[in-house]
Amino acid sequence: MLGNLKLILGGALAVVIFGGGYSFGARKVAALEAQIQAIKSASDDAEAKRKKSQEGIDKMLKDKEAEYAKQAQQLKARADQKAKDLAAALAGANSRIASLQAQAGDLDARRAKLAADRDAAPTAAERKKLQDQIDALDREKKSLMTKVDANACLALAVPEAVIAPQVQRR
Amino acid sequence: MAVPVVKEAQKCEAPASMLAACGDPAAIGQGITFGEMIDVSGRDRDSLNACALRHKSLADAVAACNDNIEKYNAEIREMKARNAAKQ
Repeated sequence: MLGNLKLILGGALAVVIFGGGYSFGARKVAALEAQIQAIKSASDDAEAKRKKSQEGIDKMLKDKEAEYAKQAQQLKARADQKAKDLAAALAGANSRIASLQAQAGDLDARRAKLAADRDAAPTAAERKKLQDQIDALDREKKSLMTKVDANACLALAVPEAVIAPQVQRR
Repeated sequence: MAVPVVKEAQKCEAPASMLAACGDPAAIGQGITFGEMIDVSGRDRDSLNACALRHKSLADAVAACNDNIEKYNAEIREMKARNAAKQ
């Protein structure tokens, strides 16, 4: 009889201890689950922000690429036009020289006439006036010849001593 | 419930067109004329302009990337501070 009672009490105690332990453990697990849920939620939030930010970066880079392509195209168009203009200007050197020389020839003819008029002028004042006109023509011709020389220079080789440091050697 | 893992960092992949190297200077040969030198100079100037534009565009893109990443990092810092305040 006493043995049975001990057995029953022992069993009841075991049930109480087990129940208490389970309840305590379950509370701990629930707290951990809640913590993990909070971590996951924060992580999802961070991931959403990361994705949004990455999309922003990708779009910004695409926009920058398009802008760069447009500017590069404009730059190339300007460079191509400049190259054409330069090629035409270089190719036109001989015709410019011919035109300048023709103008110089006209100046020479006008000068010769003015010189003859000056020599035949009756007064010193008239001779002075004609001489001033001759001087002006001389200055004009000097300016023309400088332009002739500049155009003729385009076809001349750069002196070796000057260009040597820039020449590419293989 | 899967525990979240660390994600890859953000990427700032500059367009290939902006990463191209600058062109070499135009070649200068023996006996080059003054006219040809003007042509060489013009081509080098064009090349330099193109390179400068590419460099500026790339620098702008990198700066914009850094701004975006910094904004993102600021948001993350803010989020961490909020979470720390909750605990």
